[in-house]
Amino acid sequence: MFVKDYQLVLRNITMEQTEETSVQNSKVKGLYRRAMGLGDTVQFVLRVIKEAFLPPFEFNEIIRQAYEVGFKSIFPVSITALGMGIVLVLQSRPALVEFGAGSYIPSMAAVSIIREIGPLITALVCAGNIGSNITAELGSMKISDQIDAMEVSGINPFKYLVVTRVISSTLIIPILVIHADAISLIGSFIGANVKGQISLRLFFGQVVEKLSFNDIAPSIIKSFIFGFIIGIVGCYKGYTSENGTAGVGKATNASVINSLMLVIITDMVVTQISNIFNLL
Amino acid sequence: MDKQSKRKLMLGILVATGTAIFVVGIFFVGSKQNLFSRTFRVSAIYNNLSGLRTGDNVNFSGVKAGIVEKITFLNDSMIKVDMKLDKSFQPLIKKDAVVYIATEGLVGNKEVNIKPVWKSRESIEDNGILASVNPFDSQGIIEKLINTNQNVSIITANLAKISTDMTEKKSIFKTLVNDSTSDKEFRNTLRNISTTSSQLITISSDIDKMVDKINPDSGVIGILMNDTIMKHELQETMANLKTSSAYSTQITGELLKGLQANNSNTWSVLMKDTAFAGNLKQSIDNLQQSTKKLNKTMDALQHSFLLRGYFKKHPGN
Repeated sequence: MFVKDYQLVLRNITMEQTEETSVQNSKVKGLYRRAMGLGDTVQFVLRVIKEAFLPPFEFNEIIRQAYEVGFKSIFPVSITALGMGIVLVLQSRPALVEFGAGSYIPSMAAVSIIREIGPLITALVCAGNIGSNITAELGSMKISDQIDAMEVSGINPFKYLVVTRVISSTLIIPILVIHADAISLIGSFIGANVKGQISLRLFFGQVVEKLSFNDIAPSIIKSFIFGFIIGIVGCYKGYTSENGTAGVGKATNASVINSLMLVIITDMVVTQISNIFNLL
Repeated sequence: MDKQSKRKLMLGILVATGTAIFVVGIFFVGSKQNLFSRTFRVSAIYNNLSGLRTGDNVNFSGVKAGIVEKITFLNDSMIKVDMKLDKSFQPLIKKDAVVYIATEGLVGNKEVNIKPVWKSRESIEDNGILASVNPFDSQGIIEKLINTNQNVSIITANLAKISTDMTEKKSIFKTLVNDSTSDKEFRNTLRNISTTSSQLITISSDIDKMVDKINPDSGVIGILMNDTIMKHELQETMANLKTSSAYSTQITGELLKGLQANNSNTWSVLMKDTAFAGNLKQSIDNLQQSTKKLNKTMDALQHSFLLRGYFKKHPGN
């Protein structure tokens, strides 16, 4: 009787130790996987940069991707920017008027939109729209072995699929940001005329009066970085997706979330760097 | 048009419009900073910029003329502000123009204002230095206000002390008001004035008689004295003298009566009765005028060869 109990206790202890070991192993594996993923990402980024400067240059594919990325995003970006411009003025107007600073509405809207709202809104919309599109497309190609087939047929799939998309998103998002800024300023003008009255000439005169190159330059630099991030994350997640269609779904979801997080973190960093260089 | 060409066209439109917006924006912002226009530079030296920054506006007579280009510390108390202005303003800005830092509105950015003085006719040259006025120092004004308040507090305390002293018996004012000696002295003065006036009447009557006694037909003296102009002037003077003396006698009499009728002291009568004070002032003025005229007349008479003998016999008069 006593011996049986002793054996049972020993067995339980052994089982608990095995569970603890497996938990520790899974944590180590998680960390290992993350470290591997980070290294893989860095390697992926470096390869993209390297391949971008090596011939052949797939100009037609770059233009096609720019059309897909840029032209198909102009509508959601424009609608979002217009709404943000209107809302920004409508929300800030009461507080400014209360302090007797109603005449500062155009300059406030201009600085807010050019410095922050335009690039950020465009990047967020594109991260959702372009990033998910790229990931889903590349992921589908990956699980259906189309990428392998391209390699077999002598085409460099990395250059043709990844580099072209990263270049096109890097180049086209600043153009979208400029459009978004312009449309958002028009939205601000509409918002300013909803409750008040200001002429178009006076509004845009005050907009230009308050803007300087210190506002425009960080905004444009930031938008190039946002475009690069969205392209890289989308391509990486799609190019490395696995486990069938479910894996593609997960990769698409991860691509959007990672892009949004990286865009906002980069925005903070670039703003701080601009501050250091006295650009704000 | 095939699909690829259509794509290229659409993308071209997208990129072209974006680039156009960017270029137009850059042009407007750049022209605001005088990047595309001819400019000249002026400087001003300050010891406090109150938050002025590079890129802030520079106005001339309220019109935007340029921007602050550079801010440099010359030493620990002198800051040089370089301003880039539109060339068209150069003939308008004279050498004696004054530069001061102001705030756009109540809560706006700082700006530099160039104020014309209109004395000099010479325009400021390129890289010239304009006279500067230190910006509005709110902290300094508050400190001055605190000092002023402290001074007002001290003055108020002093006034309170003076007021307290005035109500005490030992104060000079109180002594003066309640002093019976000064009251007596004032009464004596008035009596003396009255007596002098009576004597003046007597003297003037005697002189009148003497003048009347001179015969107009008795030789040179008579002829001289019969000079109608001189006679008229003398008679007029005598008449004025009589009138004034009589008036002063009357007033001093009234004053003495008033003083005797009122039990209070002389100062209280003078201070309370405004009508009396007016009369007294008028009397004193008349008396002064009459005395002046009398002095002139007496002086003339003393030097006159006609009456010189009389004044020799009566030197006291």
